[in-house]
Amino acid sequence: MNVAAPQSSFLRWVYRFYMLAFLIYLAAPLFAAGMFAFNDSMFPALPWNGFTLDWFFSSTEPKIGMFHDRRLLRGLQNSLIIGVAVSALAVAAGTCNAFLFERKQFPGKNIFYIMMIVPLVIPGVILGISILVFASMIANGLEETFGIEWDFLRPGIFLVILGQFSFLTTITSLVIGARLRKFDIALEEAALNLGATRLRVLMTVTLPYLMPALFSAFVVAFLVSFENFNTTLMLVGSDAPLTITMYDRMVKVGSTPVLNAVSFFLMVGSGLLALLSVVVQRGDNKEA
Amino acid sequence: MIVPLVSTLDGMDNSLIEAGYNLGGSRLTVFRRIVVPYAMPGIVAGCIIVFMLTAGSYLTPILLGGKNSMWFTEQIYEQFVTRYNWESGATFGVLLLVFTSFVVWLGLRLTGQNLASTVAKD
Repeated sequence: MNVAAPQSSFLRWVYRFYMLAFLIYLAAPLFAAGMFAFNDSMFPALPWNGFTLDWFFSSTEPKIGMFHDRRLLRGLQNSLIIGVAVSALAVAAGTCNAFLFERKQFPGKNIFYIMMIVPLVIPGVILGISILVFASMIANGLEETFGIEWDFLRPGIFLVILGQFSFLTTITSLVIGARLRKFDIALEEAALNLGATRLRVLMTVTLPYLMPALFSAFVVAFLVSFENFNTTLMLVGSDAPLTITMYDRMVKVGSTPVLNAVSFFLMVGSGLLALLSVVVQRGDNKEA
Repeated sequence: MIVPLVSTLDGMDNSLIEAGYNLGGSRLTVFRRIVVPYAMPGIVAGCIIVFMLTAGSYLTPILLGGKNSMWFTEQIYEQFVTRYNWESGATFGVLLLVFTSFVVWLGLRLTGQNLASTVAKD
């Protein structure tokens, strides 16, 4: 708050009330969803029938708990595999992009920069359908002309990874580029002066400096990939990530509180991941 | 909306507002004539991001929209997956892309920003 402004205590209370109302608006649905995971009833709704952990651990019909539900576990596994793969690829490509845009000048740099940013601005559904149409065009063409069947160009994990990679690279490039901008190039020049090869300079001087940004870019890319729905929906084949599986369960079959159990599990998981990322950042700030 | 605005308003100097109050401005005048013009890039960036996220969202309108909602992205999905009419779905996709790009370009042009600095604010 700006201390120079005249503060009437009425307005200050209005401000506090507004903040409280806004935070409740954000947190209440999450809290309700998590709470119904422990409700001993067949529907995620009141009345409250008693506290139970059945929706997490039970293995008997009709209340199959989250850790025994084959499809949900398969979906979780797919999400984790896709998330790690896409995040690793996006961090690698993002690092290369960061070095390219921070260190080099070349004709058309602005145009390429805008092309890099565009996947963030395009609606996710459009990204998904464009990659789907492009890959199908290639696959159909190959099949008709040469008789080769490249299955990985059909909707499936490869296309999902490709689709998510396109906009996650933008995010990681921006995060790593911001950190690289603050790097004092004199350190690199000093190392080169002392006789190190360029590769050694990269490994021992620049990359350790970038490591916090690489880690937080990885975590951000993983979280964004895990919760991404629009792009994935267009590209998914038979191995569905967790978001698509939950959506299918909810819309087509009808939801039981097992989805609330999954939500609670995901909230706790991503909270821990975000906490880990903050702790790593703070450790770096202390030593810097 | 909050993230671009916070990063813009963070760089604002308190003395600008103090000067406004010193010269006799009321709260509303200071807000209208000092804070809002200073924060305009952040407001535009936030509006663009909100618009893109809303125009391209699929899941929330489907889940919360009820039976009478006919969201455009829902139509795209239906043409692509349910009816296997990829030509029509692609047309809808291009329409959505052109429309949202036009609105973003218009917003950027009217307020004198450019895309790189708006989206890539760090």
